[in-house]
Amino acid sequence: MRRFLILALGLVLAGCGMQTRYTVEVLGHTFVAESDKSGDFGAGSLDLYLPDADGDVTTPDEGFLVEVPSAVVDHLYAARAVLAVDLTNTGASNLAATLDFYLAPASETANIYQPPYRVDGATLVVPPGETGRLVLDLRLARDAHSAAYQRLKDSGGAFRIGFHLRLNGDGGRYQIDTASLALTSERLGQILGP
Amino acid sequence: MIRRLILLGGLLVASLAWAQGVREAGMGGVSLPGPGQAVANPAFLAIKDGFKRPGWRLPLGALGLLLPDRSPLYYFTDRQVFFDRFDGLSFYDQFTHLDSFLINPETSPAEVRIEVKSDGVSVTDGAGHPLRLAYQDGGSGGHRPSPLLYLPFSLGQGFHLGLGAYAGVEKLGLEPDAKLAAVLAGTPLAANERYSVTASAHASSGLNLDLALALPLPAPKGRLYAGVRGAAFLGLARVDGALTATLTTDDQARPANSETATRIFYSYPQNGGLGYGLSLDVGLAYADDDAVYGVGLRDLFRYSHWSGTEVINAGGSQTERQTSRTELGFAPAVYLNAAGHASAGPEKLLWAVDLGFSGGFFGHAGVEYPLGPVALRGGLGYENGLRFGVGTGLSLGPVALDLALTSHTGIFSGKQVFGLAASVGF
Repeated sequence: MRRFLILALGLVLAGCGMQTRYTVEVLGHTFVAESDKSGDFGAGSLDLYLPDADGDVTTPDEGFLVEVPSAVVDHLYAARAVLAVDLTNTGASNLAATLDFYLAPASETANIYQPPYRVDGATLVVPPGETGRLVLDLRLARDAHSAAYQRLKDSGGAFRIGFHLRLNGDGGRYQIDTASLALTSERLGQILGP
Repeated sequence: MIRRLILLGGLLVASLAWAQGVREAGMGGVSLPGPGQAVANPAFLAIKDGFKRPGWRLPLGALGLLLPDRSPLYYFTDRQVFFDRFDGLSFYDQFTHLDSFLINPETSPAEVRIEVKSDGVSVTDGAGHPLRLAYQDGGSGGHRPSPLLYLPFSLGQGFHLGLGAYAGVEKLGLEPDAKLAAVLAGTPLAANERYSVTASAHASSGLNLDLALALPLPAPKGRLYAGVRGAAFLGLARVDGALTATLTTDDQARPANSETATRIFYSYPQNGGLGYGLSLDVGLAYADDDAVYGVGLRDLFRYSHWSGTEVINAGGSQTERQTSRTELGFAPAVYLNAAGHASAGPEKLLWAVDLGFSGGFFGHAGVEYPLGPVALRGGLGYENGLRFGVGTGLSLGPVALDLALTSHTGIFSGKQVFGLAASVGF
C-alpha cells in the first residue's frame, strides 16, 4: 500500500504519467566564450578537438567528462549529440571538412580520439568563396549506434565525449554554432515497472 | 477485492450524491441558495425548499475513474495495465471533477524536456510548449473538502443534525524557489548555487457529524435567517506529500548535480492513523418575493489533529517515523451567493451569482430560461481558471432529466477540459 501511495502521489505531484519520458539537454555552446567558438585558419590542414581539455585545442586529449547519476544511464532510452559548425572558404580551392564524435569511458584519461571510441562522423566540401554548415546529429539508442549506446549504459553515469573537426583547404573561417548533448529516459512505466 | 469494491461503491455513491446538481453545472457552476448549499452557509437550513429540483446524478464521473488512464485501481487488479497506461494528471483531473465524465482530461506530457543553457533553464513538453512550473490548485483552499454525501435531519426548534462523508484534495501546488523562479524568468544561472522546485499535495477523507441551529430573525421587510454550526469530523485517511527537486551549479555556473527528496505523511486505520477535529461555521440569508441572498463563513475557527506515518526519502536514504500533525486557526472560507427570478418575455428567467474566497477567489454567474417542458441553461465561472457550462432540463410528467456540458481550465496545461453530467429525477 505504501509503495502504491508513493507511486500515485509522486505521479500527481510531478504531473506525470506512465508514458512520460524525461529529457535533459545541455546546450554546451552557450557555456563557451564567443572568442573560443570561432577562428581563422590558413592553407593546409587543421585539427580541432572540442571541447578542449588540455589547454591546446589542436591536440587530442581526454575529452569532456560528463557525470550524471547512474540512474540516468541505467534507464537511458536514447541520447543525442549535436555539433554544428559554420564554415567560410576564403581560399582558391575546395575546403574539405570532417567532423567525428567520440565517446569513451571515464577511465580513458589519456586520449579519447582513438578508433575504438569513434561513434560516427560527417563530411562537407565547401567550394571556394562559399559558406556551408557541417552538422553532425547523432542519435544513440538500441536501434541506432547501439554499441555506443551500450557504452553509455555501461558507464555508471561517468563518460567522456569529444568532437574532432578536421579542416583541409587554402584558408577560411569556422564558427561553432551548436554543441549539445541530450539524454532521454525510458517511459516512467518502464522505470517504475511492475 | 472486497476493499476495492467498497472503494468503488463509495465513489459511485459519492458521484450520485455530489453536492452540486447538474442544473447548477449547466449554469456555469453557480450555486443556488437553499438547503443544498447548507454546507457553505448554515442559514440556508432555515429555507424550506430554495431552488430545489429533484434529481439523482448519474455516476458518470465514477465511470470515468474506471478507465485505465485514470484508474489507480489497476495497480491492484492488473499491474501491467497500470504501469502502461496510468496518468497521474488524468486521475487527478477526474478525481477532482467527480461530478462529470471528462471527455478530454488533462494528460501528462509525453516528454518533459529540461534544457540547460548559460542564460537559464527552460522546461517544455518536448514540442516546445513551456510547462507551468508554478501553479496552485485551491481544491478546497486548504479547508476540509466539502461532503460528498450530506444528510441533514431536522431536530425541531431550528436544530439540524448533519451526517456526511467527505473525500477530496485540499491543495495541490507546484512552486519554484525564488532563485529558480528568477532563472525561469530569464536570469542566468549563478555559480555554486542551489535551485529547487517543490510540488505538494494534501488530500483527506472521513466522516462528518454536524449540529446546526438556523432560525428566522426579525426583519423590517422580507425574511432574514441566521445559522451557526459546529462541525466535527472523524478522519479516515489523509496523505500530505511534497517532492522537492534541487539543481546545484558548479563554480562556473554549470549544472553539476541534481537530487530529489520526498516527504510523505500518510494516515489510515491500518497504520494506526486517525484524525479528528472541530470547526465553526456561521451564515446569514435574506429572502424576499423575488430573490434569496446569502453570506456564509466556513471554518471560522478550526482545529484538527492527525496521527500517522511520515516517510522521508533524501540523499539516498529513507527514514520513517510515527508522528502527528495539529492545526489550529482562523482562516475562514467566505461564500456569498444570490439567485432570483426576473420577468423576461412570457416566462421568468432564473438568475444566480456567487462569489467567494477559499484559498483563492472564485465566482460564477448563470441563467436558466424555461420554454415549456424544456429549460435552457448557461453560465460562466472562474475557479483557478475560466469555466463554463451549458445545459438543458426536460420535465416530462413525473420524470425530470437534466444534462450539462461543462468545462474547466486544466491546472497543469491550462487547456479547457470538457465534461458531461446527467441526472434523472422522479
